[in-house]
Formats: sequence, structure tokens, C-alpha cells
Amino acid sequence: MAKKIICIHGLASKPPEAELTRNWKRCIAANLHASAPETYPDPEGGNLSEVIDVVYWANAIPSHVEDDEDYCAALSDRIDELIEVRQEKGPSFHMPRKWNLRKLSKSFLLSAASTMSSAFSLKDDIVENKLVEARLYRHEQYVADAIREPLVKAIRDAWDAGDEIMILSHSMGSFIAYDVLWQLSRRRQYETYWNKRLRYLITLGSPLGDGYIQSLLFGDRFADKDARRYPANVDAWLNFSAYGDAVCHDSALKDDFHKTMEHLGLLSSSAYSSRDYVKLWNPFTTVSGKSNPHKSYGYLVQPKLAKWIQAFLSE
Amino acid sequence: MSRLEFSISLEPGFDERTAYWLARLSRVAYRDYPGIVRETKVFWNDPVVYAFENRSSETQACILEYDDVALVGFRGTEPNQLKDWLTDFRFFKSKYRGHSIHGGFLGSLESLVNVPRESRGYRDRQAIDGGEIEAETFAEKIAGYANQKPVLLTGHSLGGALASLAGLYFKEEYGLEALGIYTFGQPKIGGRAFVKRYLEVACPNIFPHVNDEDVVPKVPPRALRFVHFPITHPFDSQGKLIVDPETRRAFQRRVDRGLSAVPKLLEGIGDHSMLAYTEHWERKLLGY
Repeated sequence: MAKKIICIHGLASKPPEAELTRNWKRCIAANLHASAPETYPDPEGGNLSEVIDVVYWANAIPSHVEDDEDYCAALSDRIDELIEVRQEKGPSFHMPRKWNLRKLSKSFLLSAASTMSSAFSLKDDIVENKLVEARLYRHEQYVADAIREPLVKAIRDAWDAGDEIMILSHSMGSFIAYDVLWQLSRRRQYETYWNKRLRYLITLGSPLGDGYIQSLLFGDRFADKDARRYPANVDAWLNFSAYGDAVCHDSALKDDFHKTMEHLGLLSSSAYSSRDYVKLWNPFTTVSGKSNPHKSYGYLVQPKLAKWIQAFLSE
Repeated sequence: MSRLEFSISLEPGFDERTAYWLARLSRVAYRDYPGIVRETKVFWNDPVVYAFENRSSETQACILEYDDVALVGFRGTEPNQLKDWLTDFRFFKSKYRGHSIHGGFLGSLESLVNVPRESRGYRDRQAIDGGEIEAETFAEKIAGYANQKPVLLTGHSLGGALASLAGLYFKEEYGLEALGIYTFGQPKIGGRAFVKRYLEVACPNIFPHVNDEDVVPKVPPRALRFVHFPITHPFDSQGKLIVDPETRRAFQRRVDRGLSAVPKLLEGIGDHSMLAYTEHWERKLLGY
């Protein structure tokens, strides 16, 4: 059975489709190469490229403007640096251990903010004013359908071809993926796919722990203990959240999804059917030189992620 | 689709894959009937599922029935169920056919035998209520397997105690000899004489698993005249099976004495998680 890794990006402005696809593939390939150079000798990915399918939905947003060439070139340099860091650090890709008072106090404040913020939810006005894509997803059914459509098509094509699927979703891409999986396992129009299953759902920097974001989901109208609230086609769900990433301020999904889904029999009893990898180090630095622990590229080079992609490809 | 295809060995004696799937069944047994069905339909070759629950004693068991084997899983202590804790702490021993056994566990098992299976949904419930079909009881299901098909018993924590006790009870009551009993972090159910007779006469094929400092297998302590079954699968703090005979003996002594239960209570509670037991086998069989 062939394997397919379907990737879906998050919100904010994006490079053109071809550039974004190239960046994601580079990061995944470099991560696998750093993790298992004997199995993946080509740091550029080689044949791996055919396995990876990047779904692009940014152009479904009417006001979307692609990043220009200069920005893309600078971004590419940053990704090169990131890949170098990944190769240098090897498997010990954790928070830097060289502590000083400034770092310690910053770490303490981040930790306190993270603990407190998990108790809160995004305010409506923040979503309305700042997160254009999330606002459109909520209010404009036509746009929401257009956002989901490329992922629905990619999954259906893979299942029709008899492929096993892993979904790598980042940020807003994670709740798009969640909703699409819900639709495919619950809506009558997709009845022919009700017995199909997704091998892995991987969420990176996901806001799904947030109460407001949960209210955007299709299944939200059902009660917590109702199986219809959750997608019924996921074998394993692994969640990654980086230290200081404000988007996944409620970093663990165990209490929101995994525990109930396991109890309801929607995730299997395997010890690895759900995991929250929290407090990861995302070393990505933006084009302007600032640290951005939410960026997808920094998530895509996590050693733990390489381990699961390897497991999926070798199953 | 599962990474490890479902398979159960029908040969007597220990089997790693069987241990893995029964560890998973011990987790699945904590779910209600629909949750058990949802998972087993997809990952376990779609067996016929029977679930039994005595609400007054908070005792639950499920049976996965295949053409060639039946798997019986008992639910363990649920932290939010007071009755489960009361069962665990009823240390006084009761007499059962010449055996001296933990009274709480015996009472729990006996409370389950005459319970009819849970209905499988609306039509089934209507048929039972209308007298068109009769829901079989736990005892009837088990008795029906005697000399018909092999049965494997399993459970975690209190569920493990019930599984080991059921091995003896089913043999005495229904003449059913379990093919194997796999328990995970089970507490002790009797004294030295009981354990000796149990292994010689009743069920030699019992495979207790104990994870490092797991607190539950250490209770009740030896001071109350309880000892554990010989622990066939002791795991160290790294999650590795202990093979050195001297270390295994020391491990067994520590569990039997039960004195480290209090000073290592926090560690012991963490080590009791069923997830840890499932993970041991999954890691070993899949090479994680």
C-alpha cells in the first residue's frame, strides 16, 4: 500500500504555492535525513517528493496577496539556516541549556503566561479584527468551503488510489483538517468514505485547545460525551506545540479531545494513538531577525516529528 | 488499520503478541459498550462484543467472542468510583471452596455472575423487554465456553485481581480452564498457601505483569498475610523486562513485602498507569 503525506498550511500571508510546497518538502526531507541518514541519504528528499502533497488554500481568501520574490528569497535563506541548526543539533533538539538570569526570568514569565493563557479563550473581537481568515471561515460559508475543498480533494484522491495517509497540519490548517475529517466521516454525501481511515493526524502549533476555535468546528453543536462531536476516521493523533507559541496557548489537546475520543473508542487503545509533545524548541528566525516559535518550518524539523514520519513510511 | 495485526496465540503458555493485545483489552475494558464496539470493529477483526455491568457493586467485564477463542476483560478501579475503592480496601479474607481469598474481590466477582449482558441498542432492548429473546448472563456465557472454545482472561489493577480470581472461580463453578490469564498491575488476592494451591491445582498459566514501583501490586502488604503471584513479567524503571534471576527475586520480595508502597507512593501511582503496560509491549514489538 502506497503512502501519502498530505500537508496543510496555516493562516497569514504565504509564498506562492510552488515556493511554499518547495519549502515544506525541503524541511521534511532535511529532518528525515538528519534523523536517519542511512535510510534517507538525500537531504533534498529525492523520491520522497512524490509522497508529499502540499495542499494550498491561501488563494481561497479574497484579499490574499502572495509574498514577493525578495521576501521569498530571504525566507529561503532562513530555512537554510534552520536546516543547518537541525543538522548540528542532531537528536538533542531541545531548549538551549545555557541559562542566565535574563533567560531564566523570560522562561519563567513564558511558562506563567502559558499556564494562565490556557484558562482563557480568544476574544471574539481579536478574531474579527486580526485573524481575517478565521473570521471568513466563520462567517462566509462559500469561502469556508473553498478553504476546505483542496484538502477534501487530496484526501479523497489518496483514498481512491488506496493510499495510506498522514496529515501534517499547521496552525489554522489543523482545524481545517479536523473539520474535513469530521465531514468525511459524518456527512451523508461522503458515505462512500465512511469506512476509510486516516493513519496519522499531526497537528503543529494548533489552536484547537482554544474554546473559541472549538466553537468554529462542525462537531461543536454536539455534547462533549457524544461521539458525533468528533471525527470517526482517525487512527492516531499527535500534537506538537512549541515553547512560547501563543497560537497554541492551550498546548495540550488531551483534555479537549484525546481523552474523550479514546474513551468513546474513536482513537484506538494503542499506547501511541495520541500524544501531546509540548514545550518544544522552535528555533525559526523570521526575515526581520526575530524569533517566531509559531512558524511551520521550525515545527517541520522537530526530531520527534521525523520519528513518526519514519514510522509511517516504514509501516 | 493497525500497526500490529491482531493475533492471539491459541497455544498454552506465554505469547508476547497475545500479551500486547490483552494489555490493550485491559484498557478497552474501561470503556462502555459502544466504545468497545467502535474500536474492536476496526482494529480487532470485528468480534461479537458482550458487556456486563453490576451498577450496585460497580463491577464491569466484557467478552470479545471469536469463532475460535473468547477474550474476557475486567475493568479496573476507576478513580472516581467510591465503590471500587471500597472493594479494594475490603482486605478481610473470605472462604471459597477451601480457599482463603480477598473478600472484596470475591464479592465483586460474585456480584457479576448473574448479571445479564447489556443490550446492543434499541431493537435489542425492545426484544429483551418484550420477552422475544433472553439476554444471557455472564455466568451463562462463561459456562457455554467450557470444553467449547479456549478462553483468555485479563485485566488491569482491580480488573487484574478479578481476572486471576475468575480463573479459579470459573474452573470450580463451570469446569472452564482458562488458556491463559494475563494481569497488569494487579493487587494481591490471597496468602502463600492460596497462591501455591492456585498454581498447582487451578491455573498454572497466569502471567502477572508489574511495572517498576507500581503501588497496587504491593497491597495488601505481607503483614496482612497476602503475597503476590510469582511475577512473570517485572519491568524496570526504563520499561525493560528484568531478566537477571537475582534482580527478579529482589523485585518479587519488594512487591510481596509491600513496604515501599508508602515512601514511593507518588512514583507508584505514576507507574500504575495502564498506558505504561501497553507501551512496554508496543515498544518491544514495534521497535520504538
